[in-house]
Amino acid sequence: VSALTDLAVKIYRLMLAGYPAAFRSEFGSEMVTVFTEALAEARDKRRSIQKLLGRELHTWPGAIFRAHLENRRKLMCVQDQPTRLTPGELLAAFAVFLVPPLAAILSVLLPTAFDDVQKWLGIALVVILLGTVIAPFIFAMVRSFPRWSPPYLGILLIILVWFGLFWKLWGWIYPAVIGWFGSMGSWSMPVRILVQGMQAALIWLLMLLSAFILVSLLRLWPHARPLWQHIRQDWTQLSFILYGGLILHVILIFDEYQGDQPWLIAAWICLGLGAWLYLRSEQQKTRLLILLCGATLAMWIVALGKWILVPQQNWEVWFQRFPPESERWFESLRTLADWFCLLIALLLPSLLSLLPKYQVKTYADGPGLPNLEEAA
Amino acid sequence: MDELLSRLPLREPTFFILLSLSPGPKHGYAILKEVESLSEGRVLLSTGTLYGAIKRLLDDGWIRRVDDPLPNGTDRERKAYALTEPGRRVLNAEIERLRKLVNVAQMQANEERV
Repeated sequence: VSALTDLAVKIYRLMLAGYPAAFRSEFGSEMVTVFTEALAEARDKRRSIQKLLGRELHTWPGAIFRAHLENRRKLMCVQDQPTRLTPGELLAAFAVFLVPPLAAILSVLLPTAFDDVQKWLGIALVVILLGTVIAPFIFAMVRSFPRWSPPYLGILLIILVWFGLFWKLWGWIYPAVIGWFGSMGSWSMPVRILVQGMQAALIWLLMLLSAFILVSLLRLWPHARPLWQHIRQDWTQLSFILYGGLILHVILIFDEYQGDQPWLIAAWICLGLGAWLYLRSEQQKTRLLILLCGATLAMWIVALGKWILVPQQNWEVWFQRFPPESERWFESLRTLADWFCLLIALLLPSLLSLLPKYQVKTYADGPGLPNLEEAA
Repeated sequence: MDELLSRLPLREPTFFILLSLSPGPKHGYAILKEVESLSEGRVLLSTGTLYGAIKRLLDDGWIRRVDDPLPNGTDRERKAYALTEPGRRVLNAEIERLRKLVNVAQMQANEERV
């Protein structure tokens, strides 16, 4: 009987592992005590231990399901109030939005205003600019990825996606595209835009997936766990990662253009302004709306810039195949297709925030909100 | 009070747990036994169901944790639970609701007999 009792307690302890961590830490030891007492009484009164264990097993799936559901609802109802950023954090938060326009301005000014500039000075400037982005990223890591840090992860991911995953995957998909639409030279304007839309959809889908995988992996690192907690409380933080990727994305889609700097600077200013408002706003819905507006403004500025710049480009060979007038429309419309895919990618994580929220009752001295460290 | 009434009717385990705490604070196992006794063996709570309900009741503020009034003689720390004022109000409201239900049912049954 004693061996059977020991075995029952061991099984019971294993079953407890199915409950959320917060629930376990609050009630786990107490539940084991109660179960052990029930076992002892069953043994004393010669009741069936199997029956007791059977009852626990029978109700176990429902109990853990309800505990997880409750835990999840509770985590989602925790309002992630924006904290006031210190001047250092403010600088770190916006360095990633300020450095690109600064670099663009310098790239225009340096060759003309400083003709005699030494090569080493140019290299030093590049190092300083890069350092201005890398230093806040390290600062963010040291500070366990605070709420202002997701754009830095976005920059990392967009590099990974653009220069690694995307071309690899597109290389596999491309033969199928040729099979559907024929050789590239024969594509009409709608087909060209459709293919560009497919590419954009793939890029943002990869961004979303890699962002999710990255934060899931970072969750395993206790120091970085607050990032996961912020995302669980506020899914717009995942969208904020994609938003950060847009900083580099606008440069990449403006590739091979002359005179694109004013348009890029305008797009970055919109993105920076959006990030500033995002960090200041208190409601998740408002935050999402701000991200959508910032991304929309930036992408429409790029689309407009392309529409104006295309006829001024020195693309004679290209223009023999595609006249400038149609090409400016193609370039603008492909950017809008890109924008559309981006909007969906930004919205997708936030759909999870629309799940019904748990109403915390405050009748009396309840235990309050869960310990997020434990709950995660 | 209206908000409390909107939570009625209570689920049977919840009702019996609150009822078991009505005379005074109890620890987990005592609640389990009391519920079994009050329901004449009809409601047999597993520990998972009991603590799931306890968690919800704590969150709602209908019960609270107190020091164990009956130390079990071991070194193990034991937690007990007690009804709060809102918990007692909701229990009374449920009892009243059930009483009315029974009255109506009895009157109807008597009329049928007559």
